[in-house]
Amino acid sequence: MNQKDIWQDRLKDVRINPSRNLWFKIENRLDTDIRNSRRTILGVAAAVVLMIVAYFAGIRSVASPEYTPMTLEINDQASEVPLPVEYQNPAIKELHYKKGGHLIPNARALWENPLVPKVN
Amino acid sequence: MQLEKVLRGIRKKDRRAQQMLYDHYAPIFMGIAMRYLTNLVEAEDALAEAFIKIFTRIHTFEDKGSFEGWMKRIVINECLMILRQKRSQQLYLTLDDVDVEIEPEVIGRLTAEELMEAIQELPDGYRTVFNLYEIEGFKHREIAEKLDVSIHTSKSQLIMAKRKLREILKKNLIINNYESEGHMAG
Repeated sequence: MNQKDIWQDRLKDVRINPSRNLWFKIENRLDTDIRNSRRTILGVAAAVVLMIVAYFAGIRSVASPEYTPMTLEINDQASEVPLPVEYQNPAIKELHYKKGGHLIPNARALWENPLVPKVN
Repeated sequence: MQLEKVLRGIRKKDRRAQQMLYDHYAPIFMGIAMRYLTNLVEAEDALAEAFIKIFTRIHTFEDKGSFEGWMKRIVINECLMILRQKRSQQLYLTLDDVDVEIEPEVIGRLTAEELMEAIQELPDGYRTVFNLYEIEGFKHREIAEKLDVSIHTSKSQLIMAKRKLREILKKNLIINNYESEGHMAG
């Protein structure tokens, strides 16, 4: 008999009783795990149902005549924005530069004297 | 206890089957846990965690091997996890190539309880390697993998564990002899 066998033989029958409430502790943990897994399953199921409902609600709203998609014609010249009429008035200089206590840009002045970068 | 029947019950998460398995194996596994963890509370924590894993991961057990062996591995791993968390294993020591033998008659003259007490007196690192090698029968390569240490460390820990254990056992034996002689004299 080698040393390993001697030790194994001597200690194979060692039994120590754990405290009585250990089983209740295990039982509680198992119950909590079951509750948590049920909650997870319910959560996933609710999310799936919500997605299905949202999908069908979306299809219904797209199919509604109120929201028929239409194509708008865009003029080739649309990018040339004319100066608003009020700024074509020569009395433009008398326009207020302040409105409600805030400075507002003088559109005409900017139009006539565009800002240019200062080059030294 | 009919193991086949209990196993079927555990697979169905039957609480009575779980309790039957617990009642049968808890004292055996507590004996193992107390060999690794000297603290009763830690040993019970490891045991609780092990049983929860046994019940919840029963589907990973393949019927080919021994069910008891599978459960024992879980218990030992849980004990090692707790030891790792404690980080108190001073696992590196210089290797002394001289193997230490503990005289069989010394082991033979002490009771299992006295041997358990002697093992529990060992420091964490020594005790862990001693349990894994001498009692569980793991090889140094497997112990090194389990504990994330080198084979060299595992071997040196075992030698130091045996030296320390020999000291403890001899001391206990002397005390026993002294007490029995005193008792006879009285």
